[in-house]
Amino acid sequence: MVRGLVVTSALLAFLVIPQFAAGGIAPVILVGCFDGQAYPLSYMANYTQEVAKLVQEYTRERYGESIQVAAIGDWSFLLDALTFPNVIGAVIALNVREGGELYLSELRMEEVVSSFEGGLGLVGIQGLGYSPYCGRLSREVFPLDANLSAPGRLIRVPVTTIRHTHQRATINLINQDAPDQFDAADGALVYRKPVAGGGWWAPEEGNMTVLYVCKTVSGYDNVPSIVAYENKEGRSVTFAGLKHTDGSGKYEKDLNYYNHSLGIPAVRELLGESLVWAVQPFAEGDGVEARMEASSGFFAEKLEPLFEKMKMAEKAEARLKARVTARMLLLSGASVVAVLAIAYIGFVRG
Amino acid sequence: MVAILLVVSTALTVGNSILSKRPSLDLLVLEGPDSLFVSVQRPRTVSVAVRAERDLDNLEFRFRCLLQGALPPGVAGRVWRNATSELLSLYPAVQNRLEYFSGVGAEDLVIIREVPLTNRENQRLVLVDFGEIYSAIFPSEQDNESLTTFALIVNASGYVVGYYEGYSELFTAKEYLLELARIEVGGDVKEYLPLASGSGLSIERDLPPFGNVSFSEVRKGDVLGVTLVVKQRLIDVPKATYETRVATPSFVEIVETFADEELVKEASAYWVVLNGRTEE
Repeated sequence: MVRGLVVTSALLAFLVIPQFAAGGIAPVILVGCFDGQAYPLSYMANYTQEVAKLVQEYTRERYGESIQVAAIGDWSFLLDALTFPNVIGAVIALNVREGGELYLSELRMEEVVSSFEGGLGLVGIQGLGYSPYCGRLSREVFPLDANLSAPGRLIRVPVTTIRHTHQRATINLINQDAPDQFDAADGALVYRKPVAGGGWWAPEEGNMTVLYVCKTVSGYDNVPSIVAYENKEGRSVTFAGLKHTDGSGKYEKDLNYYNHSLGIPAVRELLGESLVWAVQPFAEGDGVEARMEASSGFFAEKLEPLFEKMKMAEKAEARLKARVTARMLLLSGASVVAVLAIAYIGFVRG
Repeated sequence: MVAILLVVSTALTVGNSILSKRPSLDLLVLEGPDSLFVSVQRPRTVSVAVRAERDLDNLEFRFRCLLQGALPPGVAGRVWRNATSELLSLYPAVQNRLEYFSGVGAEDLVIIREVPLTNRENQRLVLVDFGEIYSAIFPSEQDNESLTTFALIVNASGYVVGYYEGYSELFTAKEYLLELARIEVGGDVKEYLPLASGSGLSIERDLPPFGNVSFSEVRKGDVLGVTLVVKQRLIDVPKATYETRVATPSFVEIVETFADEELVKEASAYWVVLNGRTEE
């Protein structure tokens, strides 16, 4: 909704006040991993920082240093920020938990869908594609429309993990340098049941490409596990797995746990390349400059009334001070006159 | 001679001081509850009313309602005297917003102030309010969606004893928890009800967004006020709303009054309200 005003804002760019010069606003990619095991959503600071480092590494290499990567630890602000015009992309992880629930209002979903279609590059991990949590986001942005979650195979050596084997289905820009097959630590993988016999479920609009499939423990061997999607101006890549949870519940204490996946070269390659591909239209060329100018115009237009109010308050205070000073001078003058009059009447005339 | 000079100048200075502090508003009512949703009948009203003592371009009541959150490890048990920024950096919800809004040149619009709690002696509130920024950026239907305001309670010894986060709105989950909202300006009274139909004003639909009740071109002598009557029981609150907006040991209810954009401390209040139902 907010992004829809960007064009109007660009036309109002002449209103830009110094704070909002286009050079001052940078394109931003958000990273927020809410994989904690508690309800409500629990932010995983250490995991988020690791993903943010990975994102920074890939975006710097491809698009230079102008893009800022921001780790976001507050779910409601993450949703706010997805609608801000200088935010060009995000990596978001949500943990699907048995019996858990996530409150995501219709309005919020509408805003994210609208921002995505207006031009965002998103990478969604696990719960984003799960329809009982994310409703229309799981169909219109992260198109898995998953309604079930399946655990992977338990591997005990060298460390205990739960894994899925992912098999390449298509080669494209994202996975051209990735292996045909790899194992990743997936605490669980979300999928849509009934599983299609041939082909996959796909949203009515846009262009969906299944990059990898995997076999679930329940025997389905054609479950999309990494999916790229384009619709209107938006691009997304959805990872059905990569749920970073162990059965012990000691997640927060085990700083290395997420490295079971992030340490796997294929996972790093696919996550990094996914983000690079998803934000590409907004991260390079003339597009990024135009977008930041529009962002400047947007914030100038929206926030100028507040700066005006602030100035008004300062002026009111200055006026009050001037009034007090004038009154003080007047009273001082009056006091001199009064003293002289008293002195004259009391001492000179008397 | 010297004595006369002293007497006259003292009298004039005192007179000037009194004149310069002449208030723009006369406070008529400022009341809030100490607890809500308890079995015993207690006052359930939040109310503020003022009379303008001079013409004003603008008068605004800003309401915020915050819910109690957890203190992060390492905060409790430490004395924080002059470390507001360090303390706030421990809260991602605050830090993320500060960083983002600084990045777009809006840092001067974030309100950070320390104020005494109205109904707790020797305790102060460190308030961080992004409400004005949100109300400027987002459309009015968004007013109930995002956290906009944060507060820490610090006791007389400098220990942080409470953390609160919440929304720019008149009262939390107002559509379920308010029985009545009344806005008065110069004898014109508007009443908002939970399930208003037809031409009736609705709490959910018609109350001013983002907790900001504003009046323009206020004339000297005008009486302006807002009264909220909270329901006695927590009924009909949906589960998701209950969990995110009501299940809290206590709230902080804030009303700040601004006359021509200047905060009028005497007509502003910061109440800690115990949520009796959660304690049971």
